[in-house]
Amino acid sequence: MNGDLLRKVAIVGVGLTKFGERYDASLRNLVSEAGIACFEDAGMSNKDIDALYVGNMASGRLTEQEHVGALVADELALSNVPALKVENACASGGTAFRQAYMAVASGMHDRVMALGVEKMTDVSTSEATTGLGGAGDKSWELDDGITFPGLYALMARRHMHDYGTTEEQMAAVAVKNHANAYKNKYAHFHKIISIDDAIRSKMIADPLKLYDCSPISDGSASLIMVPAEDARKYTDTPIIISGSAQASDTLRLADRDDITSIKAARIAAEKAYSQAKIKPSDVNVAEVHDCFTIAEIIAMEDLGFYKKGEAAKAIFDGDTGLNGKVSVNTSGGLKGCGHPVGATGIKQAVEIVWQLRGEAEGRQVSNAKIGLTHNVGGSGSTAIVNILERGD
Amino acid sequence: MKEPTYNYREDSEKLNFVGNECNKCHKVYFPKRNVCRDCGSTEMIDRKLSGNGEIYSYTQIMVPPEDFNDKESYYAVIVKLDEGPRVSGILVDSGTTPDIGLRVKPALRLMKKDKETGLPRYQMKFEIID
Repeated sequence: MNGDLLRKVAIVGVGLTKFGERYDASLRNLVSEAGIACFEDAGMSNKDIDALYVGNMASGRLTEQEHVGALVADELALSNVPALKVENACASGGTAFRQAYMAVASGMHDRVMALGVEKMTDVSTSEATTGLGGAGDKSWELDDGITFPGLYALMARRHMHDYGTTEEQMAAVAVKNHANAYKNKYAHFHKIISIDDAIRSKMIADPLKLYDCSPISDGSASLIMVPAEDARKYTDTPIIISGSAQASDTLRLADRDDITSIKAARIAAEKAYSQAKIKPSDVNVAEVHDCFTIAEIIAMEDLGFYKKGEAAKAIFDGDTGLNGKVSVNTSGGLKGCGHPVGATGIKQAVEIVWQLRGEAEGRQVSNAKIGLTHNVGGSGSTAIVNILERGD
Repeated sequence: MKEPTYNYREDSEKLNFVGNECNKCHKVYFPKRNVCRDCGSTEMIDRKLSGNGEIYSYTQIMVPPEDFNDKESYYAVIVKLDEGPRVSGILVDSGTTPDIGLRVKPALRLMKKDKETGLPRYQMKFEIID
């Protein structure tokens, strides 16, 4: 579609729940917590919303609840608006974000809510892990004994072979993201860890250890988008979506030409940068999909922040810490903030909105003007990259 | 009784290493595809593959999927088959530590007996050629 025909879209409100093992909260409770916070932040009433897009991966499997679009619309007492759930594995939240963006950009709707949610701790860890395995190819990966951590372990092993990436460099991603999460009251973990802690943690799928893996978390995140020209009715600090792109790739990891990179992410990034008319070095703050530590290293290369094979050393050297060359996963990322799967893609955007508004409290990046989100589904079968900018 | 979620329909393909080949551009696939990813042709012809190849990547899985088999850990691999395609699978327990570039051959093994039905399930694994 010709981009000139699209309306500019702004985010005018965000809401987030505390992430973690929320035994106090049901799927429905999480939705209320994030949704009500979002209305308050936007200074908007639930009756103002035109349409709802919900990101959720596995409500049926994890809570036996389907029809989550209607559930969220009902719980938040929206006005009989069109509501639906989108599922794209771990990229479900990012997909809901982009659907909401397209609904406003196209002129179809004027005040759209995107909400991501996942209630994961009502089943055992083993059941949750098996459910998440469905993000890969059920018949040709999971049934053959290749777990989801196993897929990223295969990527990590090849990355180590081709580029000399080390287990200490992967551990440095976890150390950084735990340090950021420590400063985020919404984060699943508030625990500073060392390289040694990470290296000595239990082996899950060699070379990935427990501290290389994001946790199983409950949580919800929400935001409201409007046409940019209306944004100042709701906020003094609108955040503009200047780029939004999505791409897909083979469901099976083994089918890809190169498993040390995620092609879908490279394609989405290139399109998003082009729409926003920026280059990677213009980005001040980024939330990237660190479902496993190796995934953040690969993301930094796919997003063009580093040349292939150079990100791991840069991360180890502290290049991507708070107020580094680019501040990455200031929320704590999936590793430290937690990974309620359907909520993650929306939470990434919420964190970037806070950073661009200057509301990120103890983890604020100074003078953040341009932010990026990178959300991946499966072992790289779906990728979404969004660019957000301050509206002033 | 819990319905089996395992896809038995693909067993003959899996256990016999039958892939297919695009009749237009001759790209070889395993598992089979009905549409060629390279040229878009739908003229695909079955092709039996050797199952021989070399290890492209590997991992030792220490936390198996729920109810997968009775093993506490095993090696998973991506193998680049001699005919071209890459496929993931697991290694037979031979005591040899895998490495990238090592040659492998196919090995049909009993995976487990299904808990519900008692029926044996087989799996085509890979074996490192010493």
